[in-house]
Amino acid sequence: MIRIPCPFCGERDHSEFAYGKDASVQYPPLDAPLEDWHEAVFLRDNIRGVQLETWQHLHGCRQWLVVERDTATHHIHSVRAAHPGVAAVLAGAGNDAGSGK
Amino acid sequence: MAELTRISALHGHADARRLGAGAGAPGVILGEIGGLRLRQIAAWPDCIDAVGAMAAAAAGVDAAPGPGRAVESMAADSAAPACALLRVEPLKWWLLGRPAGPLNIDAEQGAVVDLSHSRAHIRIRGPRAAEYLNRHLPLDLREASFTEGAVASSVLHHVGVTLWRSGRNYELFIPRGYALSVWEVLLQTAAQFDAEVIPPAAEGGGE
Amino acid sequence: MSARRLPDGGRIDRAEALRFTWDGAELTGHPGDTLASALLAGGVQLIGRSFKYHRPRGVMSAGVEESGALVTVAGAGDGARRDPNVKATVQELYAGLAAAGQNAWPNVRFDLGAAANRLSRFLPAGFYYKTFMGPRIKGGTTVWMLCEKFIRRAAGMGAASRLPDPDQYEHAHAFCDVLVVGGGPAGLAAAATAARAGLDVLLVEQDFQLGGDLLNQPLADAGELLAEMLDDARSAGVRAMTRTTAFGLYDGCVAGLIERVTDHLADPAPFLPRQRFWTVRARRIIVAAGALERHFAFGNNDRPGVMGAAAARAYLNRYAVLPGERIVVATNNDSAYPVAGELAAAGAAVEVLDARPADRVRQLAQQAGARGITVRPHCAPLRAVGARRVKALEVAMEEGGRWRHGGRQACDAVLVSGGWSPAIHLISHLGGKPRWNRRLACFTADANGESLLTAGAAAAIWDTGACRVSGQAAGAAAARALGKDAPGIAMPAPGGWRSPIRPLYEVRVPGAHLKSMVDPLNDVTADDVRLAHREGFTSVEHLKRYTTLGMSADGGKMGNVIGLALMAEALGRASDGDGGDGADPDIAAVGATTFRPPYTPVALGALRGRSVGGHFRPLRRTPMHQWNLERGAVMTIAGLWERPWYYPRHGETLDQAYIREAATVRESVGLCDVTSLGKIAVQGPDAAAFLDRIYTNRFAHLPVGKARYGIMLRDDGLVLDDGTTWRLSETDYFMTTTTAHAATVMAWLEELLQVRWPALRVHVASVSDQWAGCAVAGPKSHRVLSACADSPEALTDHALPFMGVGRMSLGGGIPCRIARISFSGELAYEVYAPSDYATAMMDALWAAAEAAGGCLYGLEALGALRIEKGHVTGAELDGRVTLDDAGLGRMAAKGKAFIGSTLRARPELQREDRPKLVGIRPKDRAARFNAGAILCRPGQLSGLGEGWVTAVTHSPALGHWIGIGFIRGGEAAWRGQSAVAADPVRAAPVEVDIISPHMFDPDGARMRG
Repeated sequence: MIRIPCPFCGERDHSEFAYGKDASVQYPPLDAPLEDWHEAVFLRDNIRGVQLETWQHLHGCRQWLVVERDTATHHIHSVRAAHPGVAAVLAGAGNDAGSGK
Repeated sequence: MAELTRISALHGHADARRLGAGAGAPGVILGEIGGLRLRQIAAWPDCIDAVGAMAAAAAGVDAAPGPGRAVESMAADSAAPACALLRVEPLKWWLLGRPAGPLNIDAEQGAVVDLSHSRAHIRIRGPRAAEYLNRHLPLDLREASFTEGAVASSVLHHVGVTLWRSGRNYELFIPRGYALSVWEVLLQTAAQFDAEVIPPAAEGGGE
Repeated sequence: MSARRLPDGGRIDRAEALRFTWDGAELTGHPGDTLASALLAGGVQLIGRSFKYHRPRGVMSAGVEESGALVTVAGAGDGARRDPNVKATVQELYAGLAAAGQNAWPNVRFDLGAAANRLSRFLPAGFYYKTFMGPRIKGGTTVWMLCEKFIRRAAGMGAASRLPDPDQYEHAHAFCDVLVVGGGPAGLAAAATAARAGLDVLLVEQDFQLGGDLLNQPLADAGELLAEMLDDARSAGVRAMTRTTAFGLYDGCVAGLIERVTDHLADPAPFLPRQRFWTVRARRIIVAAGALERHFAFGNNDRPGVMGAAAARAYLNRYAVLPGERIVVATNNDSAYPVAGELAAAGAAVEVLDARPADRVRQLAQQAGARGITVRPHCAPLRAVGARRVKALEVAMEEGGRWRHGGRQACDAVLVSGGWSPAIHLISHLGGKPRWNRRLACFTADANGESLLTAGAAAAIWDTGACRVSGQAAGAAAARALGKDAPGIAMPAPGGWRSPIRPLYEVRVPGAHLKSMVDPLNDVTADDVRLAHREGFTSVEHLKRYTTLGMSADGGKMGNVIGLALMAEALGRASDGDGGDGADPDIAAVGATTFRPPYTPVALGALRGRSVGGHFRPLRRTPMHQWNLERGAVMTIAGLWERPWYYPRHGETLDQAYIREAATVRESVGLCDVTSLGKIAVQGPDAAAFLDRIYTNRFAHLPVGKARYGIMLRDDGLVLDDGTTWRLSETDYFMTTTTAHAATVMAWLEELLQVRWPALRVHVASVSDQWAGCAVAGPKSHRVLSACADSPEALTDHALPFMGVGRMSLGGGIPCRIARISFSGELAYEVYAPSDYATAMMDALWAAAEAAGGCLYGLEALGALRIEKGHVTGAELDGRVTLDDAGLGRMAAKGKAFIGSTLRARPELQREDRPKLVGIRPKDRAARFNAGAILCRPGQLSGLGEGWVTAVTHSPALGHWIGIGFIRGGEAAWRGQSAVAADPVRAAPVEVDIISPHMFDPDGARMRG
């Protein structure tokens, strides 16, 4: 079982989370040409190694997270809130984030 | 106009009873608390401190709690908690109970939504309460990890729930529609803890 | 002679007698016994019949690796509680236990199926496949088809009950700093050391007693040490769980455990779960799971009376059972010598056959000789003699590097030690590769050193003292890694025998026809392995699948290494022996199959836990649930919701009821519980801009106090969901979604706001549970609402026009939200009250509706009304449909970009011949057709068809059956042509017209009022 260290809730079972998407994809503006949207929606690398993924802590704080995960080992290198404002709030909240203490 | 009667999620299903062997002191005591008052307060990221301060003032506490924490204020006329503020999401608090002061949060600062009818509230206590909750919840409830005042959201029988440790009670908030289903599963497990179901209480009742 | 209980000794409680039955005969044992030890003590030696050949089997081990003594344990009552394939060697004895032999008829002693053993040369490895591929006999019938029934009946294990499992099971969660697997000397030492360093330690042991191999050593030697170690672990604060198997390790330092809560109890409390499935999250895991003793392949090595030497030691010292009076101990290593001495001391005549040369066993032989034991070097067992149990042993002697007949030895027990296999299974679960250690003739696995450590015999450390030190070393290492002070203790080296093991896996002599079991549980013989090699199945993975080696209930614990050795030998991959031992098969070059969870079998019931029956998944109920039931609602489950299906009156059928309900709505008024719709609060200064991006139509200028129907697409341009959104204030919206997609839409909005558009100041919150909803629909709906509204003027056309939104107080102060919107096509409203007031709202509405001649209507009538109108729901919006397919192309605003607006223009999604939403009507108006039918061209009722029917109903308004669905090109392409609704499994084909989906009141005059 993958355990994901949520920056708000602390380390939790992956069953509390829902996998989202490839976090390295930059979605184009809504009125961008079809080719750009085709590439963003349909073309994916199949990486053996570290990749960026979005996960939502669905049954926790409901935050969308950017998770750096090794697909070969399931090792998770880093996790941060996808929303930069939320990430800043959590950084300011100090070290007690998710400790329950 | 007379105040409307609130019909709670477990109405008719949470009557007092003893479960299990039924002898001696119960290992777990649980019951529904009705009449929930819950407002969710959300802040825009750059207004988090200002909104936190307003939420704290409304709750009658010194400062808004950080991630995974809750603070309670005491009513002036009794020893019972009047109000509690729980940090449930990075940008959100839950304000429980009767606020000590007004809550006027501008749309430029954040948003407030009433969730008083959205959850069933179950109170669980007793010497084996943490062990009992761990039959269902994948949370680290060891004494040193989930201290008094801790708040966490997790999953119980496939349902997202929120748990708050308030004093010697565990307060469990379950989305209302799922409440009966979750309650039935909780009762199945309770018998081995010689559990006692106490009668439904209004908010602030019980212990 | 057979086994017998010694008059004293053992770790059993002789003060208490436990009566139990074996195949109906009553026997007694004591607390502390296993079923196997009690059967042996009672003189029962023949316990099972083998899987394929029905060979007689007895107790072969004293643990989870058991391949012989598999029994069925039946509980009291109707037979629902019947547990087949229980290993008697691990089943704790309790009063009233009823066990029986299996895979035998009429019983294990006189088994007619034993004829299979005489036919065994016709039933080799791959027999099934060959039969399956065999020639056709007549009319295409294969040998397999003729014989399958008989083959399947003859082969097998115990039979499970066909009744529902009467037991309950549950899940549980635990957390600890260090999880120690195994309660032997290494595990106890590791746990105590880590706990003394200040860590929270959980120790799990599959046995019902802690101690591991210390329990099997003579009480006089090991009793004090065990007591001291138990006391040490306890006082250090170790949490210990017995009867608990760590069956699998998983990523993230997570272990799966099965705790057997009541399997050892005569009369468990009814509320106790039979087993508990634990998920343990640790920071470090120490595997101290011990090692399993191997046997050799030799003739009839599965005969009752042939047993592992270490198992015999357990029966002797732990259970005070002497396995025989004239005992031959066959070994290739030192570990069998202590048990030989202890058996001799207990009064048995003991002879040791040691496969090693005389100079390597001289010292051991001298010590044994002092106890009256003869040691014969260069000797090994060749064939056990005796029909139902061992009566003698043919011995093989080695001369010049070859085995030859070495005479016959009368005996009643043959105890075998062919070396030891560390229990590396759990390490393998986490990807630790098994590596062959030639010096110790066993596989070891490197723990990853980070989160996983090993100690004791699991790390191939054989000596008890060294095991204890290795446990201390591992416990201290875990403590230091977790930031605690702990001394650095050197990990002892693997091994620990004075004289090296001689690798030996099979004993045979030229010309002898031997039935030598490699994997006794699946009746895989040495010849089967060689046959697999001859037929080309030489990879270990192919060997496993072709012969079923290692695929039985013991997971290959007994036979895998022997099978690998024989394959290595057949492949000629013998490495250089270390002098005089003959060929040492190069097992390293053959490799091993991967161990996967579970280590021992896990009951399916334990996996499912409490998610069973009505709690298979959580059910959602609306706040009007009880109110609906009290008014006669028949419920149905839609998604996770329990919803009113119909409200029968006076014994109405479903069809009668919903047709009446739908007609009543069209004629007067009806109330419907619509609480299950998803509801989302969308709040913030940028809410309008956000809605404008996610809906295909315009929302930016929706006035306060109005609602609008909207459709959301996915990025790929296909329809995601639809619903109405109400503007409550400048910055506050109330969005409704379909029941089915409520959670998906919520997560999608959160994703957009948090990941893609973080600059937008919008908060979304699910208020689905906050509000209970009721649709009030029909020409009299306005009158009904006016009757119960506290201020009826709020409901005038001016105050609440079509698509208007407002707040209203109902029934004496119930604070409601109301919108004049329609799903049924009638003048209609949706009214929402806070959930705790739902029944009060329904009481008020129903009092007025009932007085007006209205009805309550359920999901079926709701469907009928919307099908008449051609409104889409989840049945149509199935993730493959575009706006244009659904006939909603006009909902796409021109001149604004929205989610999906670019990719919906893909050429493939613009094709004219895509399936499009249509109405469907039978040509013969009296005919009926089904949802799910395939729409075909007449005369072409095959293939994929031209379309499909998504929903049907009897239309009270039109007076006949109608449906909606999709068909290639849509209505325009079928004008003047009929189609056929083909439903070959359920009904005859029905000829239908393809018409507009808007079959009733197409202009919507009725709902605008």
